[in-house]
Amino acid sequence: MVTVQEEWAVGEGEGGPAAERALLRAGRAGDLAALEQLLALHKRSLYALCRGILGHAEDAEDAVQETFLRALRGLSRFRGDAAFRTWLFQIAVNLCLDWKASRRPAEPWDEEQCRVVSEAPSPEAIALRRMRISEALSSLLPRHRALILLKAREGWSVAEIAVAMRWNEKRVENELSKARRALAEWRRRSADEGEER
Amino acid sequence: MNCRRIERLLSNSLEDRLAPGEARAVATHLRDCRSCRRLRDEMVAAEAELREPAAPLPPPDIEARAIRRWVAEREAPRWSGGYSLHTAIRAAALLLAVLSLTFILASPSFG
Repeated sequence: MVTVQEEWAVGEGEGGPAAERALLRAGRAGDLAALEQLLALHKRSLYALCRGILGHAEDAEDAVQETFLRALRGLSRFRGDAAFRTWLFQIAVNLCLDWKASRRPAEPWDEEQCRVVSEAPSPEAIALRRMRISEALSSLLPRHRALILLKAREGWSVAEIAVAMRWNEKRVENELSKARRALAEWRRRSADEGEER
Repeated sequence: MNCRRIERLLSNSLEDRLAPGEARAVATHLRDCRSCRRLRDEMVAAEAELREPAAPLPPPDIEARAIRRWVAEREAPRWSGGYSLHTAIRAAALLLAVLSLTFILASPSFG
Protein backbone atom coordinates (compact mmCIF):
# COMPACT_ATOMS: atom_id res chain seq x y z
CA MET A 1 0.00 0.00 0.00
CA VAL A 2 1.35 3.42 -0.95
CA THR A 3 1.10 5.92 1.86
CA VAL A 4 0.44 9.61 1.36
CA GLN A 5 4.05 10.37 2.15
CA GLU A 6 5.35 7.87 -0.40
CA GLU A 7 2.95 8.98 -3.07
CA TRP A 8 3.95 12.58 -2.42
CA ALA A 9 7.62 11.71 -2.59
CA VAL A 10 7.30 10.31 -6.10
CA GLY A 11 5.64 13.48 -7.40
CA GLU A 12 7.65 15.88 -9.54
CA GLY A 13 8.51 19.53 -8.90
CA GLU A 14 6.18 20.89 -6.28
CA GLY A 15 4.31 17.60 -6.33
CA GLY A 16 2.38 16.17 -9.24
CA PRO A 17 -1.39 16.21 -9.47
CA ALA A 18 -1.55 12.65 -8.13
CA ALA A 19 0.42 13.60 -5.03
CA GLU A 20 -1.77 16.66 -4.55
CA ARG A 21 -4.93 14.60 -4.85
CA ALA A 22 -3.56 12.11 -2.33
CA LEU A 23 -2.81 14.87 0.15
CA LEU A 24 -6.22 16.40 -0.44
CA ARG A 25 -7.92 13.06 0.11
CA ALA A 26 -5.97 12.45 3.30
CA GLY A 27 -6.64 16.01 4.47
CA ARG A 28 -10.36 15.62 3.94
CA ALA A 29 -10.23 12.43 5.96
CA GLY A 30 -8.81 14.45 8.86
CA ASP A 31 -5.06 14.10 8.34
CA LEU A 32 -3.79 17.51 9.44
CA ALA A 33 -0.18 16.73 8.49
CA ALA A 34 -1.32 16.04 4.93
CA LEU A 35 -3.21 19.33 4.87
CA GLU A 36 -0.13 21.12 6.09
CA GLN A 37 1.94 19.56 3.31
CA LEU A 38 -0.70 20.42 0.75
CA LEU A 39 -0.77 24.09 1.75
CA ALA A 40 3.01 24.22 2.01
CA LEU A 41 3.24 23.28 -1.67
CA HIS A 42 1.63 26.55 -2.66
CA LYS A 43 2.59 28.99 0.07
CA ARG A 44 5.60 30.51 -1.64
CA SER A 45 3.92 31.36 -4.92
CA LEU A 46 0.78 32.47 -3.09
CA TYR A 47 2.82 34.76 -0.87
CA ALA A 48 4.66 36.24 -3.87
CA LEU A 49 1.33 36.84 -5.59
CA CYS A 50 -0.29 38.46 -2.55
CA ARG A 51 2.76 40.58 -1.90
CA GLY A 52 2.84 41.62 -5.54
CA ILE A 53 -0.79 42.74 -5.42
CA LEU A 54 -0.87 44.23 -1.92
CA GLY A 55 2.67 45.61 -1.82
CA HIS A 56 3.22 44.95 1.89
CA ALA A 57 4.88 41.96 3.53
CA GLU A 58 2.53 41.95 6.54
CA ASP A 59 -0.59 42.32 4.43
CA ALA A 60 0.63 39.50 2.20
CA GLU A 61 1.16 37.27 5.23
CA ASP A 62 -2.37 38.04 6.47
CA ALA A 63 -3.76 37.40 3.00
CA VAL A 64 -2.07 34.00 2.70
CA GLN A 65 -3.30 33.00 6.16
CA GLU A 66 -6.82 34.11 5.32
CA THR A 67 -6.66 32.31 1.97
CA PHE A 68 -5.62 29.10 3.68
CA LEU A 69 -8.30 29.51 6.31
CA ARG A 70 -11.03 30.08 3.71
CA ALA A 71 -9.78 27.09 1.72
CA LEU A 72 -9.84 24.90 4.82
CA ARG A 73 -13.34 26.06 5.69
CA GLY A 74 -14.50 25.29 2.17
CA LEU A 75 -12.59 22.04 1.78
CA SER A 76 -15.73 19.92 1.97
CA ARG A 77 -17.30 22.01 -0.80
CA PHE A 78 -14.28 21.85 -3.12
CA ARG A 79 -15.43 19.64 -5.98
CA GLY A 80 -12.12 19.41 -7.79
CA ASP A 81 -13.42 20.80 -11.10
CA ALA A 82 -10.34 23.03 -11.16
CA ALA A 83 -6.93 22.18 -9.72
CA PHE A 84 -6.54 22.84 -6.01
CA ARG A 85 -3.84 25.39 -6.88
CA THR A 86 -6.23 27.31 -9.19
CA TRP A 87 -8.84 27.31 -6.46
CA LEU A 88 -6.36 28.66 -3.89
CA PHE A 89 -5.20 31.37 -6.27
CA GLN A 90 -8.81 32.27 -7.03
CA ILE A 91 -9.46 32.80 -3.32
CA ALA A 92 -6.22 34.78 -2.91
CA VAL A 93 -6.74 37.04 -5.93
CA ASN A 94 -10.28 37.93 -4.94
CA LEU A 95 -9.28 38.47 -1.33
CA CYS A 96 -6.37 40.74 -2.28
CA LEU A 97 -8.45 42.78 -4.72
CA ASP A 98 -11.19 43.20 -2.11
CA TRP A 99 -8.63 44.26 0.51
CA LYS A 100 -6.92 46.57 -1.93
CA ALA A 101 -10.25 48.23 -2.64
CA SER A 102 -11.17 48.66 1.01
CA ARG A 103 -7.91 49.06 2.93
CA ARG A 104 -5.22 51.70 3.10
CA PRO A 105 -5.42 52.73 -0.54
CA ALA A 106 -2.94 55.58 -0.22
CA GLU A 107 -0.21 53.73 1.67
CA PRO A 108 3.20 53.81 0.05
CA TRP A 109 4.55 50.64 -1.52
CA ASP A 110 6.58 48.48 0.80
CA GLU A 111 10.22 48.79 -0.22
CA GLU A 112 11.60 46.93 2.78
CA GLN A 113 14.16 44.21 2.43
CA CYS A 114 12.76 40.75 2.83
CA ARG A 115 14.04 37.24 3.04
CA VAL A 116 15.13 36.05 -0.35
CA VAL A 117 16.39 32.79 -1.77
CA SER A 118 20.10 32.25 -1.74
CA GLU A 119 20.69 31.52 -5.42
CA ALA A 120 20.42 35.23 -6.26
CA PRO A 121 23.62 37.03 -7.29
CA SER A 122 24.26 39.58 -4.53
CA PRO A 123 22.19 41.30 -1.85
CA GLU A 124 22.62 44.68 -3.58
CA ALA A 125 21.54 43.31 -6.95
CA ILE A 126 18.54 41.61 -5.35
CA ALA A 127 17.56 44.79 -3.52
CA LEU A 128 17.78 46.84 -6.72
CA ARG A 129 15.86 44.27 -8.69
CA ARG A 130 13.16 44.06 -6.04
CA MET A 131 12.84 47.82 -5.94
CA ARG A 132 12.38 47.92 -9.69
CA ILE A 133 9.77 45.20 -9.57
CA SER A 134 7.92 46.96 -6.75
CA GLU A 135 8.05 50.17 -8.71
CA ALA A 136 6.75 48.47 -11.85
CA LEU A 137 3.90 46.77 -10.01
CA SER A 138 2.93 49.89 -8.10
CA SER A 139 2.42 51.67 -11.42
CA LEU A 140 -0.37 49.22 -12.28
CA LEU A 141 -3.98 48.94 -11.14
CA PRO A 142 -4.43 46.16 -8.54
CA ARG A 143 -6.35 43.95 -10.97
CA HIS A 144 -3.62 44.41 -13.56
CA ARG A 145 -1.02 43.46 -10.96
CA ALA A 146 -2.89 40.23 -10.30
CA LEU A 147 -3.11 39.47 -14.00
CA ILE A 148 0.52 40.18 -14.78
CA LEU A 149 1.74 38.18 -11.79
CA LEU A 150 -0.37 35.17 -12.72
CA LYS A 151 0.90 35.43 -16.27
CA ALA A 152 4.57 36.28 -15.74
CA ARG A 153 5.33 34.41 -12.55
CA GLU A 154 2.91 31.52 -12.66
CA GLY A 155 2.84 31.16 -16.45
CA TRP A 156 -0.94 30.73 -16.45
CA SER A 157 -2.95 30.67 -19.67
CA VAL A 158 -5.75 33.11 -20.42
CA ALA A 159 -8.25 30.33 -19.68
CA GLU A 160 -6.71 29.58 -16.28
CA ILE A 161 -6.63 33.25 -15.36
CA ALA A 162 -10.27 33.57 -16.41
CA VAL A 163 -11.19 30.87 -13.88
CA ALA A 164 -9.14 32.46 -11.09
CA MET A 165 -10.41 35.98 -11.73
CA ARG A 166 -13.99 34.87 -12.45
CA TRP A 167 -13.92 36.77 -15.73
CA ASN A 168 -14.60 35.58 -19.24
CA GLU A 169 -11.61 35.00 -21.52
CA LYS A 170 -12.36 38.08 -23.63
CA ARG A 171 -12.11 40.29 -20.58
CA VAL A 172 -8.85 38.63 -19.56
CA GLU A 173 -7.45 39.33 -23.04
CA ASN A 174 -8.49 42.98 -22.90
CA GLU A 175 -7.25 43.59 -19.37
CA LEU A 176 -4.01 41.74 -20.03
CA SER A 177 -3.42 43.89 -23.08
CA LYS A 178 -3.97 47.03 -20.99
CA ALA A 179 -1.72 45.74 -18.22
CA ARG A 180 1.06 44.87 -20.65
CA ARG A 181 0.86 48.26 -22.33
CA ALA A 182 0.95 50.02 -18.97
CA LEU A 183 3.95 47.96 -17.91
CA ALA A 184 5.76 48.63 -21.20
CA GLU A 185 5.00 52.33 -20.79
CA TRP A 186 6.44 52.26 -17.25
CA ARG A 187 9.58 50.53 -18.54
CA ARG A 188 10.01 53.06 -21.31
CA ARG A 189 9.48 55.95 -18.88
CA SER A 190 11.95 54.58 -16.37
CA ALA A 191 14.53 54.05 -19.13
CA ASP A 192 14.04 57.65 -20.31
CA GLU A 193 14.42 58.92 -16.73
CA GLY A 194 17.59 56.87 -16.39
CA GLU A 195 19.02 58.47 -19.51
CA GLU A 196 18.17 61.98 -18.26
CA ARG A 197 20.11 61.45 -15.01
CA MET B 1 -3.59 47.99 -39.96
CA ASN B 2 -2.56 51.12 -38.07
CA CYS B 3 -0.41 51.25 -34.93
CA ARG B 4 -3.36 51.72 -32.57
CA ARG B 5 -4.98 48.53 -33.76
CA ILE B 6 -1.69 46.64 -33.65
CA GLU B 7 -1.05 47.82 -30.08
CA ARG B 8 -4.31 46.20 -29.03
CA LEU B 9 -3.43 42.94 -30.79
CA LEU B 10 0.11 42.65 -29.45
CA SER B 11 -0.85 41.01 -26.17
CA ASN B 12 -2.93 38.35 -27.90
CA SER B 13 -0.11 37.89 -30.37
CA LEU B 14 2.21 37.07 -27.45
CA GLU B 15 -0.40 34.58 -26.25
CA ASP B 16 -0.73 33.04 -29.70
CA ARG B 17 -4.42 33.87 -29.60
CA LEU B 18 -4.83 35.69 -32.92
CA ALA B 19 -6.74 34.49 -35.96
CA PRO B 20 -4.32 33.55 -38.78
CA GLY B 21 -5.17 36.70 -40.77
CA GLU B 22 -4.57 38.95 -37.77
CA ALA B 23 -1.32 37.17 -36.93
CA ARG B 24 -0.06 37.77 -40.48
CA ALA B 25 -1.09 41.44 -40.35
CA VAL B 26 0.70 41.92 -37.01
CA ALA B 27 3.86 40.20 -38.30
CA THR B 28 3.90 42.36 -41.44
CA HIS B 29 3.31 45.54 -39.45
CA LEU B 30 6.05 44.71 -36.94
CA ARG B 31 8.53 44.18 -39.75
CA ASP B 32 7.99 47.74 -40.94
CA CYS B 33 7.13 49.66 -37.75
CA ARG B 34 9.95 50.38 -35.34
CA SER B 35 7.67 51.92 -32.72
CA CYS B 36 5.37 48.88 -32.45
CA ARG B 37 8.36 46.56 -32.48
CA ARG B 38 9.77 48.50 -29.54
CA LEU B 39 6.44 48.26 -27.70
CA ARG B 40 6.37 44.48 -28.23
CA ASP B 41 9.95 44.18 -26.99
CA GLU B 42 9.17 46.32 -23.94
CA MET B 43 6.19 44.10 -23.11
CA VAL B 44 8.30 40.97 -23.30
CA ALA B 45 11.19 42.50 -21.34
CA ALA B 46 8.94 43.92 -18.61
CA GLU B 47 7.36 40.54 -17.99
CA ALA B 48 10.73 38.86 -17.97
CA GLU B 49 11.83 41.33 -15.29
CA LEU B 50 8.89 40.33 -13.14
CA ARG B 51 10.06 36.72 -13.18
CA GLU B 52 12.42 37.60 -10.40
CA PRO B 53 14.94 35.01 -9.28
CA ALA B 54 14.60 36.22 -5.70
CA ALA B 55 10.97 35.77 -4.80
CA PRO B 56 10.16 36.79 -1.22
CA LEU B 57 9.83 33.92 1.21
CA PRO B 58 6.76 33.65 3.42
CA PRO B 59 7.09 32.96 7.14
CA PRO B 60 7.97 29.28 7.52
CA ASP B 61 4.98 28.21 9.63
CA ILE B 62 2.25 30.13 7.85
CA GLU B 63 0.32 27.00 6.81
CA ALA B 64 0.62 25.47 10.30
CA ARG B 65 -0.79 28.65 11.85
CA ALA B 66 -3.74 28.65 9.46
CA ILE B 67 -4.47 25.02 10.30
CA ARG B 68 -4.28 25.76 14.04
CA ARG B 69 -6.76 28.61 13.61
CA TRP B 70 -9.08 26.38 11.60
CA VAL B 71 -8.91 23.58 14.17
CA ALA B 72 -9.55 26.07 17.00
CA GLU B 73 -12.54 27.42 15.09
CA ARG B 74 -13.99 23.95 14.69
CA GLU B 75 -13.40 23.04 18.29
CA ALA B 76 -14.87 26.24 19.72
CA PRO B 77 -17.79 25.33 22.03
CA ARG B 78 -21.09 25.69 20.25
CA TRP B 79 -24.61 25.50 21.57
CA SER B 80 -27.15 23.32 19.94
CA GLY B 81 -28.57 26.33 18.13
CA GLY B 82 -25.21 26.89 16.47
CA TYR B 83 -24.27 29.97 18.50
CA SER B 84 -20.65 30.27 19.58
CA LEU B 85 -19.48 31.19 23.07
CA HIS B 86 -18.54 34.67 21.83
CA THR B 87 -22.07 35.28 20.63
CA ALA B 88 -23.42 34.11 23.98
CA ILE B 89 -21.11 36.49 25.89
CA ARG B 90 -22.11 39.38 23.65
CA ALA B 91 -25.82 38.58 24.14
CA ALA B 92 -25.37 38.39 27.92
CA ALA B 93 -23.56 41.75 27.97
CA LEU B 94 -26.34 43.34 25.90
CA LEU B 95 -29.02 41.92 28.21
CA LEU B 96 -27.18 43.24 31.25
CA ALA B 97 -26.94 46.70 29.68
CA VAL B 98 -30.66 46.73 28.86
CA LEU B 99 -31.59 45.61 32.38
CA SER B 100 -29.34 48.24 33.95
CA LEU B 101 -30.86 50.95 31.79
CA THR B 102 -34.40 49.79 32.65
CA PHE B 103 -33.54 49.79 36.34
CA ILE B 104 -32.08 53.32 36.15
CA LEU B 105 -35.05 54.68 34.20
CA ALA B 106 -37.55 53.01 36.54
CA SER B 107 -35.89 54.13 39.77
CA PRO B 108 -37.79 56.89 41.67
CA SER B 109 -34.70 59.08 41.88
CA PHE B 110 -34.44 59.32 38.09
CA GLY B 111 -35.71 62.64 36.73
